[in-house]
Amino acid sequence: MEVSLPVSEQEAIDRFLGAPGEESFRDLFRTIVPRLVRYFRTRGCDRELAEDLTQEVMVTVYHQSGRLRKKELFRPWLFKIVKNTLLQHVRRTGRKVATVALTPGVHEPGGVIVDPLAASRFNEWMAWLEPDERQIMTLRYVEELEYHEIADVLEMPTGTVQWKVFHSKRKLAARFGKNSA
Amino acid sequence: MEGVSLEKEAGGAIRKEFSLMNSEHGFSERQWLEFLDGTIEPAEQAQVLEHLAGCADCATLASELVVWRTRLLEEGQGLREAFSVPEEAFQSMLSSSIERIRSAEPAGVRSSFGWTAAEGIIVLRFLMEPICGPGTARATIELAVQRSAGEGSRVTGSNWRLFVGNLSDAAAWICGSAFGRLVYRAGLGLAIEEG
Repeated sequence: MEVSLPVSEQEAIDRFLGAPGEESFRDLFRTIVPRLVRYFRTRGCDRELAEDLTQEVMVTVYHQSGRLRKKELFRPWLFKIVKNTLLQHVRRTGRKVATVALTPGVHEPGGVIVDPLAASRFNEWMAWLEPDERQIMTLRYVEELEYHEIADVLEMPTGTVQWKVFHSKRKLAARFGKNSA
Repeated sequence: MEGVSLEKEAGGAIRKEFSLMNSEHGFSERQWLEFLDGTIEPAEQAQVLEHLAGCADCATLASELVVWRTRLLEEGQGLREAFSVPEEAFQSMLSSSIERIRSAEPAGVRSSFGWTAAEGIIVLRFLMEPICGPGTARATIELAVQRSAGEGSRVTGSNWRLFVGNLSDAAAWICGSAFGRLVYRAGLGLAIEEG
């Protein structure tokens, strides 16, 4: 039985959590893998490493999905796995990983290259924020998580997340102005 | 003027939170963000709009926040597009992940009260037939066996979980997600012996 129609991310999540077989896993894989690869790439991983870590995350998702009590919690749960996978990799290899890649085109020891694509204005702006603010702003504006989901991932109150988003924008406005290109 | 509020967290720690609870303006960060995101309650929205019409400082602030929200959304969209995954890489990752999942399937339960995989399949067939019919149940089970064990092989305790996942997946497509969940839970509830 082949799935030919594209499914939305939420449909894929609901279907996988309801019946975690290979077909539903394939659909889930297709919808969320770009997020995972992007997360690792924007934190200084090269393409090969990002894809390896993504596979680790997806295998973990498959094996541990039974522990998820509510499907509404899938995204924060997923990003916790992603965050922990990256931390475990850093501990195994002893490499430093940026909260968001800040310096484009830099070759780090061990051959981890920050991709020039990371040299976007977004990263330029994030360089002016504190690490936790960068993390929150990236989860909000790149990964499109809701405030309460970010709060769950980072284990902080939702109000704190909102406060940091608000004041991060004010910092950016103060630094770059309203009319900068 | 900024105010400070204290919030007690789990474990008794007190966290200091700053809020823009200006007695003159009276809007919190939450209200500002919800106003800009379009998720604010209508009554609060009306209050904000009424205030903005008469307060130059807040109108300037709102303007700044609107500009930066737009910029961040656009740059976020650009980053999402810049890091798209080529199809070839995607298929390679998917195949590799499925291979890892199959090779990591846990062994079946060794129990004096355990079922063989063949008996487990019969139980699941009895469960499925009244709902989707004998022919559909048989065909669905055969498909799940092929996907889980491969051509010419059989379902055993070691690939039982994968088989149940594939069967429930197919059952969900045929008769709905509730039926798929039922098949999944019933299948995993059986103690299937190794071998």
